[in-house]
Amino acid sequence: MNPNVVVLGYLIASVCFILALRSLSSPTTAWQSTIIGGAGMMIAVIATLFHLPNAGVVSYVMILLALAIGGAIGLTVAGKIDLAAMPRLVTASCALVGMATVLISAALLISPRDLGIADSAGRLHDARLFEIGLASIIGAITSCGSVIAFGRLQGTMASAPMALPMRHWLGIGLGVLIFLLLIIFMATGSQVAFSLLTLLAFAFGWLLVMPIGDADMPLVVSMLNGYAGFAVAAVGFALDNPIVIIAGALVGSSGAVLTSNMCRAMNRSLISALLGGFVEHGKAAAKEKTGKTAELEARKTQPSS
Amino acid sequence: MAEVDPGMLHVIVFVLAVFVGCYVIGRVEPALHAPLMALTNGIAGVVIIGALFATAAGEFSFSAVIGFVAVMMAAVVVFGGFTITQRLLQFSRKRD
Repeated sequence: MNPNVVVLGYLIASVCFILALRSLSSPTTAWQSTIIGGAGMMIAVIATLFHLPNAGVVSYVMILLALAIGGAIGLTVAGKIDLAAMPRLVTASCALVGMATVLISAALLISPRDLGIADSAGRLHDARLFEIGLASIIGAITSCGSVIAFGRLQGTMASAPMALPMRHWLGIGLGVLIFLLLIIFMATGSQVAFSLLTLLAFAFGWLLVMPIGDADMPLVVSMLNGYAGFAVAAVGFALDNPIVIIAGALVGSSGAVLTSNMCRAMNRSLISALLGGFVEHGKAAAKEKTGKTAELEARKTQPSS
Repeated sequence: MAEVDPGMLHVIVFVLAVFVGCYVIGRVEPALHAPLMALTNGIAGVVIIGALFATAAGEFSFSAVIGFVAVMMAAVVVFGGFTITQRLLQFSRKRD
């Protein structure tokens, strides 16, 4: 199919996504949202199926099989699950999206020529490597964080949040290490650097969500949703695919706005929610201190009684 | 403008889409937070398109196997996300 027609299909799909989100802002139009959004998704997928450069019969059979299995699992789980367990389903989905992002980044790195992202010499450009690495990092953080959040909501993991000593320094160290590895990966394009990068990002995701208290779980779910969106957008950059960039940006920014709204409602700062457990500890300590001083003052004011 | 890297145009598209996302969601009422989260989750399943490309990277290649798994994961997210949104909306309509 003519690639211009495919891109037009992507344009229609992104308009559908925007309208679907828009219709959810009022209860009277909310019922349309899944129809419009579903239509957008279908248009995007069908347009892509006509645009796969070197797909053979086997590829199409594999795609249909994967769609059938995944679709059946998704429909049955989401159809049966108790509505109160919706946050759990969202975290599970975020984990899947993050994991899919990591897998796609790996595929992009392994066979860039077949995916049409290599330059004329068959090698990956620096900027492309940066995008692939970034997609994998955000995807891994989202995926591991979501697994922890899922376990917390399910109650399978020790429900008391765990706070490692020195975790601020651990977090900063991991962040710096990931950044250095990303630069090495950009310079060399080595698969070893990519694997290390991804593993460390998994550890970072664990460190991010593990110390967060149960009361903040709704914020974490919403935050992870936004992270998943930005991971998707990074894949879109690596693939040069406009619909993946647009949908990812929409999901990421709306997730961030939703988190900030929820923070305001719960009287928390957005920064503490976005950065997860890293600033939580200091804040709690400060609160404890003010609590103690308040107590002292209270005692001071009424010594006569 | 011909010599501009197409990646730069994608940056423009990304930033504008971020703004659209912010403004579209801006004033959603708290009752619709849950369906909104479920719907954005379903839309995040658009990563399925990347997975489709990976699956079609070449028959019986390692990338195709990875892509197959990724398509399956993303399909769960897409179908699950839209289904649960539908159910949440039906529930809130019944309650009203």
